[in-house]
Amino acid sequence: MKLIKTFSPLLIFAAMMLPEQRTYASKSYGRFSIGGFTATEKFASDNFGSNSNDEMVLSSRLFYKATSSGDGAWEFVSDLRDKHDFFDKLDRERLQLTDKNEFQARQLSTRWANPNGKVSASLGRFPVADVGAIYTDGLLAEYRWNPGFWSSLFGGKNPQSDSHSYLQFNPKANIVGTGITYQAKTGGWDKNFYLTHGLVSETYESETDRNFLFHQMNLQWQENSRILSLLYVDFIPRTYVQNGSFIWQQQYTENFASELGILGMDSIQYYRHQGVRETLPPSAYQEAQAKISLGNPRASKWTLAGLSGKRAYDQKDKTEASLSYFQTQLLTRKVDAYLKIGGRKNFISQDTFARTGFGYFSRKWEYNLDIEYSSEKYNDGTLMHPLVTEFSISNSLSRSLFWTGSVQRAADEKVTIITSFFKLSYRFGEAEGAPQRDTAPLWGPI
Amino acid sequence: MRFYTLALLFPLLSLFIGSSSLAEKEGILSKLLAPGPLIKGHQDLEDKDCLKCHDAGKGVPNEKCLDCHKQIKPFVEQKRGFHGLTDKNCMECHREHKGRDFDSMAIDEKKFDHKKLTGYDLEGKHADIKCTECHKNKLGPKYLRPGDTQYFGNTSTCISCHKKDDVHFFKGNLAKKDCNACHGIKTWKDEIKFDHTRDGNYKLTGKHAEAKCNDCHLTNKNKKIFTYKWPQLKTAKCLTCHEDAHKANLSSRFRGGNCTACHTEQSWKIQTFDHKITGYKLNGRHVEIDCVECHKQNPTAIDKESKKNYKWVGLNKKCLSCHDDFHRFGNAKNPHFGDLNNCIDCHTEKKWTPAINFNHNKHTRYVIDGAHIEVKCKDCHTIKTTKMPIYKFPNLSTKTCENCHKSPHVGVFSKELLKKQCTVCHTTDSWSTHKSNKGFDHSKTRFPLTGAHISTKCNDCHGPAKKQIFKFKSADLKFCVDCHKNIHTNQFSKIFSAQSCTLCHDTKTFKDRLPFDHDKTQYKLKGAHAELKCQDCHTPIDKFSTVVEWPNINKKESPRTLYVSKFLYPDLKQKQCLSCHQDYHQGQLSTKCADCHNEKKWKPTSFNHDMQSDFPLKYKHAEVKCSECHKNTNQFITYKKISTPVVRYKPLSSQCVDCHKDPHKGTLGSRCQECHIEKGWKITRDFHKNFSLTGVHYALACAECHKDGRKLAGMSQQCYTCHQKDDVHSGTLPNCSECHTQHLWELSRFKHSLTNFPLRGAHRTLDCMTCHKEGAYKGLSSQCVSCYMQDYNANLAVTQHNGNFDCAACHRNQFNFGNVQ
Repeated sequence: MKLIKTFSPLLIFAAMMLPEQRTYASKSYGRFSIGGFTATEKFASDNFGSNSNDEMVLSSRLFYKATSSGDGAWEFVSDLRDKHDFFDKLDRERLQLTDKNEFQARQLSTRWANPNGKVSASLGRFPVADVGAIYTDGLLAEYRWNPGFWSSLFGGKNPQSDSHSYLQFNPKANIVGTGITYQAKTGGWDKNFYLTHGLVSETYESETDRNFLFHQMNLQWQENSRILSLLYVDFIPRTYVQNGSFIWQQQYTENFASELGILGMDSIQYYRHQGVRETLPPSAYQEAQAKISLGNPRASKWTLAGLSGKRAYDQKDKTEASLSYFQTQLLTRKVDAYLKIGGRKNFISQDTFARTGFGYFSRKWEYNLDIEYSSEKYNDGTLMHPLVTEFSISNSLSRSLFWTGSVQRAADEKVTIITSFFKLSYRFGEAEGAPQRDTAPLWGPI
Repeated sequence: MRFYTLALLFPLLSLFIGSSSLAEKEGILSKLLAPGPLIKGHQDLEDKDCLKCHDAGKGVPNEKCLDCHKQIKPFVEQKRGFHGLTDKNCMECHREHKGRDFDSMAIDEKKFDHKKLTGYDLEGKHADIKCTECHKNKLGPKYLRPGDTQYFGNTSTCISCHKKDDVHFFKGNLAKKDCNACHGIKTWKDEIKFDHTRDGNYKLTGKHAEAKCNDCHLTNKNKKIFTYKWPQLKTAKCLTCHEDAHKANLSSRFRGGNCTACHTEQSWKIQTFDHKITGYKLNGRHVEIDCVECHKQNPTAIDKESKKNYKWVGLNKKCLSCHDDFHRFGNAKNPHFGDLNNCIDCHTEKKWTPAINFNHNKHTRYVIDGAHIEVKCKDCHTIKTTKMPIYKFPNLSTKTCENCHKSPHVGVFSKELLKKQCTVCHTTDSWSTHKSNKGFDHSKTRFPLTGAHISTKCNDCHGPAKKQIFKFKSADLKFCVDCHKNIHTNQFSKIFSAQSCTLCHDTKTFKDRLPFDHDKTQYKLKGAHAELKCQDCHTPIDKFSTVVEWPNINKKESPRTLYVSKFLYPDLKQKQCLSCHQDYHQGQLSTKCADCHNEKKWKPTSFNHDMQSDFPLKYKHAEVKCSECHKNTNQFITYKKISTPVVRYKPLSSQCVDCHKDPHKGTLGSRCQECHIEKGWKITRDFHKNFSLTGVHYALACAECHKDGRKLAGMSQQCYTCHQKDDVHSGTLPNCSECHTQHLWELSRFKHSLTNFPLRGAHRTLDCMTCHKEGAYKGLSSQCVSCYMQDYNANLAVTQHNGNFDCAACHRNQFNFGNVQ
């Protein structure tokens, strides 16, 4: 009964949409996905009278975009998400966990795209891409100075709250901002330039919650040689870098590349949760990374990577060094393999780890086996050996219907966790989708 | 009171009466005794004795009234009509002694119930009309209202009112019937009860049923004489009413009113007539033709339309009764047929021609065969000078052909030959066909006649009379050129120019050539070339066209134009196939057609795109039609009146965008092969190089991440770029891929239970930031006070809290921190 209550709104809506996409618009696109996982956790030792700590989550999502006929001046986008967590609410009277449901309209907006004109506008709940995908319940107006250069102005209610992770209408929270973006309309993948800046102000009733400057840049002057930068500069309660990263990737020859990166972040949540009697230490964290790659990613590649970071909270640091190797199209064109070994100081432990993976890829099927083993020696003398093994299968029944599932086992000396997962995704309507592969892809970071 | 009055008056009355006569005395007494004056109509009775009307002590009886009103008496006695149906006494209605002006006959017309009071129901139209439309009688002068309507006197018969409406003028018994015997009251015309069959003893059918009564019964329109009895009907039949149109122009058996032998009551026009009853049954074509084809119209008839003026008598069964003597046989007789004018001996009624019963070979002495079969009868059986027919050929036993044909050989052949009958040499098949071994046998000459020569007239070759040539000189060339002109001069090589025409032609026809061994030439025919007709390659060319007079000896026939073909190809070695074939590629490819084409079949070609071009076709490219890439140009090659566009083969770019539509509109450059492969546009090996799409990302539309065509190359590690607002860690854990996969965001590789502090009970429901508010995740203390120091400080009053940070010793239940044990 609870299941029906939880998913019926989406399913009914999906049923209305699926049979005919052309009813409301000349071009429409959407996808509906439903998935979930269940995790069984068994602890070696009894803890507070129980040695299990199971989880089960069921989630669904319906995304739909319709574009009007003609020049496609009008767009309608809805992104509805529903999540049912079966053990995530505390019934304090009965002292047990009950299920919790979260339904949210992630996006529900209409846009006057006006592709051939200079002005466009959006209304509803939507993310503003030019300022870091900030969500707004309001209005966005854009003015295109030329096809690659535009500025935007938006304002409305802020659907995001620091008390929960999902969006909801917050009548007392306001947001207003402006952005300016340049996107070079150059041909080809080799050269690319994207630069955007934004100013955003978030208020709660009469109080200013956050004022920040957003910057993002992607400059690529040749294949695999680029600079990426991301910056959030907050002005409340002081001027500081809330989040910033700078990455420089350089391809020297076909078989030799390097990467340098620095990362700095603070937590805005940290200040929001600060009690009136608390004097919290700074929570900033800085990190520097370096990578050297040798080999052709189309065949095999060695990567030597290292990072070093330090957090201000307790002055603890983190360092890591790893060597990874990946081989695409191992033995056959459909199989690839991956191996990574390394060691790190992880703030409070000395770890050595190894991770390996195998993948099989055909046009319709994809199998992945991923195994990670660590040896973690904590400062208090505890020695743990977590082993995480995951086997996943993906299958495209058609260009529209896709399912994936996996079984994961994670275990160490304290606990054994078996997690199984399944998801079904249905795509409908007209839109350019990702091409299908028939061989093993290059090993990506994700 | 009244008694006393009378008692006082009585002595006075006695005195008065005693002084008068008796009559006067009665009158005076009546007046004195009457309660009042009588009405105007009865005023004469005032001088009478009261007992004239009254019975002593019994009032006024009806009988006394009816003694005077005699016209009413029958109605009362018979109890019919207004006065007969009422149960009242006369005086109850006709009150008296009310004075002269009293109207004792007053009737309220509006309340008068005619049916109840008179027995005559006013139905139909009667209910709507005024009383006076039927009651037309007027009251006399003695009545109170002289000239007013007198209701009495009408009868219930229709005729009493509708006399003027009578259109029948019946007499005798019919006249005695009232109208309602046949007509209804409500609607005069629609409720006819009259049945002509029952009541008239004559059933009306067909047109009779549609006719108006007066069409028959108004026998004299001018004098308006109606007749309803037809005593002569049985003898005169139809003529009782109808005029005898045919009179003597009809066989006697059909006269006297026997019209129904031909006509029907359905239609006067004869629909189907069984001619058999005339003694002459119609068969074959006779059934199909119009009557008037035989029964011709009387030429003197005035009414050309009426068929009564056609000739219906006088014809007999003989064919010539109607048909002309086409053959002009007259009275000629034949041993086999007898009277030749008996047409039916040869012809049939089904079809006049051909005369199927006549067999010239069987029924005459002369057998018709050969070309005579085609000859019309009159060509032989007509004397050309007089145009008269002739059917007897007395000399047929000695002369045959000469009866009709004139010999062209007179003066040319010897007398000995001329004595012979034509049939010695000629046959009836054709004049030019000679009998072999009989007469002149051409096969005994050096030139046996074969093919078309057999039917060729002798003088076509041998020339006209007196200039005939019988000996020809070109025996080495088999005599062809003696009669025929060689139009191939300088067209063949020397080898073939020196040979006889019979190498290629036979004597049947010049057009059909003999099998020619092309291998004897420099170009051997193989494959499809061997199946071609000569003229497919050796096409007629204007350059060699010439007017040839043929045959060249006898010029009686009109000259014909023959076009000669091209046979010599001196540049064959150099141009090869293009010597004959058009270059459909217009120089794009080499002249070595055989590299791709072969002689067996021009299409498909043996062209190997992989080996012979710079663009090997693989996968999907191998499946597409050539025309998908090699488009037609604006140039056209016309051959045999068919225009074929020139296809572009070279130079052709190998750039994908030259053939494929770029959905990225050029924003991603022209090197499509970097992402796409030839196995299929939607299949790729290197697609999304640094960011392998799996899981949910694989189901996305490109534009969901690449908004406005934004390029995200190199952003693979920056999940933040797209998922900034999905990040519940608020950017404190930037390396998303360390824990999350693309399959399901909620499913993380990170397991809190693998840390030193598994989340259990109430801790499972907390937001991450409740504990990790500093943004630090790794290395936090698992001691309760590290998160609940504020709670600890706020409850220092609790004794157990004093310096004791082992919270779990008391707060054992994670579900409720306050539930201390």
